[in-house]
Amino acid sequence: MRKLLLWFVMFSAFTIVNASPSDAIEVFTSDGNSVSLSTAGKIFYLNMASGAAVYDSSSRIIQVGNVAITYSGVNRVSKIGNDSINYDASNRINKIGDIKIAYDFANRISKIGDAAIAYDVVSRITRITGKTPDNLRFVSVIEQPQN
Amino acid sequence: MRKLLLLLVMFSIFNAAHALSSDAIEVFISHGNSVSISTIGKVLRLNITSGAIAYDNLNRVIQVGDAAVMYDESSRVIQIGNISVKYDQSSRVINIGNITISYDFSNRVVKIGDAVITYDSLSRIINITGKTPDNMRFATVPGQT
Repeated sequence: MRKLLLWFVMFSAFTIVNASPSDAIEVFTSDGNSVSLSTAGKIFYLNMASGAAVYDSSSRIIQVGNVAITYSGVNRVSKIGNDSINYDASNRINKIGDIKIAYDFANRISKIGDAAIAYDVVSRITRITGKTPDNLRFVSVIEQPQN
Repeated sequence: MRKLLLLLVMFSIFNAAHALSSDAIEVFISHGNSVSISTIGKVLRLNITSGAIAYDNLNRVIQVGDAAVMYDESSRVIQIGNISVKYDQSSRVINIGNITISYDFSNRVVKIGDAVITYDSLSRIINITGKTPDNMRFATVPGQT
């Protein structure tokens, strides 16, 4: 019984963690489509205006419109179209194409290229000073879907 | 102990259900910023290039750049900048500005304006025929069913 109880506690913790993705970086591909990557390189969201989406046998998206997506690990994106995704020693994205991604002391994205991202005391984004590069945006998760 | 176990089971189911994705409609506002709202009118995500974000005391986003976001008494979005959001009797978003949103028998978004969205047997988006309006896109969690 105690093992079962422990299992449920762990499962609950797992689902809570999974239900709370951190902020992400959106990478535009083509035809107005884009994918959003977590700082660990997992694709969280797909925003589409037109075209086809293709998945592999692991349900990973491998094609959006005419742009291929490749992976270097189980879920870690290594390339989106012509843009390589690079990671630092902490497995955080530190470069998308030639655009640098920087982090603050709390492991939050603080810069995308020259655009500086500011947060309030509860880590909500409050401002982007400057402008993100044309093919990138900052994605802030406000609420989890409930329907 | 059994009551506690039952509570945890219910809690787990609740969390798993809430972890399930629902699709959203992204509405571009200004300066390349956008707001993604679920089919029941909740703000799920902001995609931002520049500018300030403001929140109210209910933690709702009320300003993105120079666009105000307004809510009804059920915390459903009713206005994003000068774009109004309307709902059907099932509380689903059916109009964003003058663009109509349609649903299929499984309650999935199948049309945004003239753009037709198709799904595979696992309810993953596989195609958009045509093109969504310039200020809107379909937003989903890829691979999640």
